Amino acid sequence: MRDLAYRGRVLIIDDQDATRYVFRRILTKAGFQVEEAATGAEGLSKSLDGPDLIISDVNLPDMLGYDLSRRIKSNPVTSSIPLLQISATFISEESKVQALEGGADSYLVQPVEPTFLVAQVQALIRMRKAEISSRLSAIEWQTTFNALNDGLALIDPAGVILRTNQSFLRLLDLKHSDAEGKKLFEIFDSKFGLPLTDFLAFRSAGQSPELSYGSRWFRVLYDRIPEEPFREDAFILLLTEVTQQRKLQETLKMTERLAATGRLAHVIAHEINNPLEALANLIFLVQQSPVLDRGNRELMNQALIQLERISEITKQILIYHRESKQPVLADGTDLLQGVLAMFRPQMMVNHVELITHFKSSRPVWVHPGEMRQAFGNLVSNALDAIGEDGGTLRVSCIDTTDLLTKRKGVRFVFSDSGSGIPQESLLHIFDAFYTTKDLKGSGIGLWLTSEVINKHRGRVRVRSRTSGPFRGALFDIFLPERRPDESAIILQEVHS
Amino acid sequence: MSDQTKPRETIFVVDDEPVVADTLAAILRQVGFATNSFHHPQAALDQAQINCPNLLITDVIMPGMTGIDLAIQMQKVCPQCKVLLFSGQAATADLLEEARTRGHEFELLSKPIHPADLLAKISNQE
Repeated sequence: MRDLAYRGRVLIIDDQDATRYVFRRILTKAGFQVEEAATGAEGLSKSLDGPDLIISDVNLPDMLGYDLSRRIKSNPVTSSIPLLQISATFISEESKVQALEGGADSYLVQPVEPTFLVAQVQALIRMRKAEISSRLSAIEWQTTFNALNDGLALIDPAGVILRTNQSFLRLLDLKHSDAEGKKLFEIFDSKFGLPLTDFLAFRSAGQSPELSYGSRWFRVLYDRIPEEPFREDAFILLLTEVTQQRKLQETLKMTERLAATGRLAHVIAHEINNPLEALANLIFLVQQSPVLDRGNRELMNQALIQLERISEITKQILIYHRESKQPVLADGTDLLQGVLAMFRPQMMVNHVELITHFKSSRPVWVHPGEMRQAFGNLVSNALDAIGEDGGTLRVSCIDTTDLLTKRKGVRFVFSDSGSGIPQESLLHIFDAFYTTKDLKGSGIGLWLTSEVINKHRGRVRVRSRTSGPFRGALFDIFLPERRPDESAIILQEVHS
Repeated sequence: MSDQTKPRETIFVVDDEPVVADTLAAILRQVGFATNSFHHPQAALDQAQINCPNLLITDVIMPGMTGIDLAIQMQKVCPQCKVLLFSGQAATADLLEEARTRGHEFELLSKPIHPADLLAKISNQE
């Protein structure tokens, strides 16, 4: 019975018509498709069509069999096609070896038993298919490896990085040559600033520390890959970026902190201001008494002055935290003055000269508490940058029209004579957790400032010089005049 | 009413803290106002049915009724009555904004206020 299933395509190169005829019969019967070539040259050109197997006579009129095999195996297009050489004349073991060294995958001597030929052909084709599929799966594996968002590195028992995926290189700003073949502890030191031994100590203590590089945070997993027994184990290092989760956590913490401060302000307002009010009234009533002598009247005056001082403190705290959920129309100058007042003591101690230029008559819609916080962070940073040896802080507030968007609004500029922000930091200063103040900074301030300004549909720009007469940083903020949801509000009013 | 003899203006002082309401009323009484102090907003409204005040000075956050609601209802009963809100609370800004959208504009003083300043405010209101 004929097996009609397609088993593969075979190219037969032989100058003997009879041989080709016999082979064709045998192979066609076994289910193979057969192409023929009578010369080496013809064979080479037909091999470019990509048959699954080439059967070639060793004794061709235009070239020697092992020349042919060398040419097939050296052409990348045909190099993976298995080659079976057949000879009736060169039967010495030496010529067999020569053929195989030329790249032939197998060697048969005529006369060939048909079943044996078919078995050989099938074996060679199966081998090729296995090879192709394993090459494909290797490509697939590498692609998958690279498609992972997590950074992955394989480390040999000696602590040398064997292989990494692209995410690993991207997350840590590395090139292939920086990582592969390098010791893992060097990467740990230079990227995370943490000795690998410390990390391993944490790990064996059951903690899984999150490590930071630049403004990114990673959860780091380092695990043994068990191999064959009696061999040392290799390791896998997995970096999962957790910056977003961290940001979220910090925002929650910050919100909680703000809420707690808000509650505190509320308590102060209620619990202190009411008694203060009563006290002020009581003292006033005593002062009005006609029987009070001069000395006691003076004491009452003093009491009232002290009471004023307490009221001033609670008032400051309240102005800072009195928050409305609705945006309100506020005067930019008032906002700034409220913020600057909070920093007066620090400016005096550090000999900071404050130069203000307030020329704004255009109110802006703001959430005053948030905006005070945003401005406060800028002033606080400026004072930190100026340091304790004195300097100048210029703050201005002017009506303006945004050149880019043609929106009307108010421009706030904070410019200090401090140390300035290095060029390489400028890109990151609005990132959460990016700080140049080491342990003193949380990396939250400027991020929060930019969040608040974005929420108000404004924008913030920064310029900086770290040397020269105009050294310092300048933050330029634009807030649009229009309420973000103005159209919605007008509609609501029409309907109500 | 003539300008010669100072008319006895009536002022209602409302605060859920009795000491605040009472001392403020006492101060106003000293300078010649007819003054009633109330510790519950509803009591002030009840009294207004009998005798309309010229001025209502009220705390904002009180149990039962906010000073803003009290002021709005008071002006329904006594349309001529002027209003001064005073509060030490942080949450009043929203209430005031809400009242504004409903068409009521009130002046808000923050606690504590020096009695002399308050008296100056009151004479400005007249």
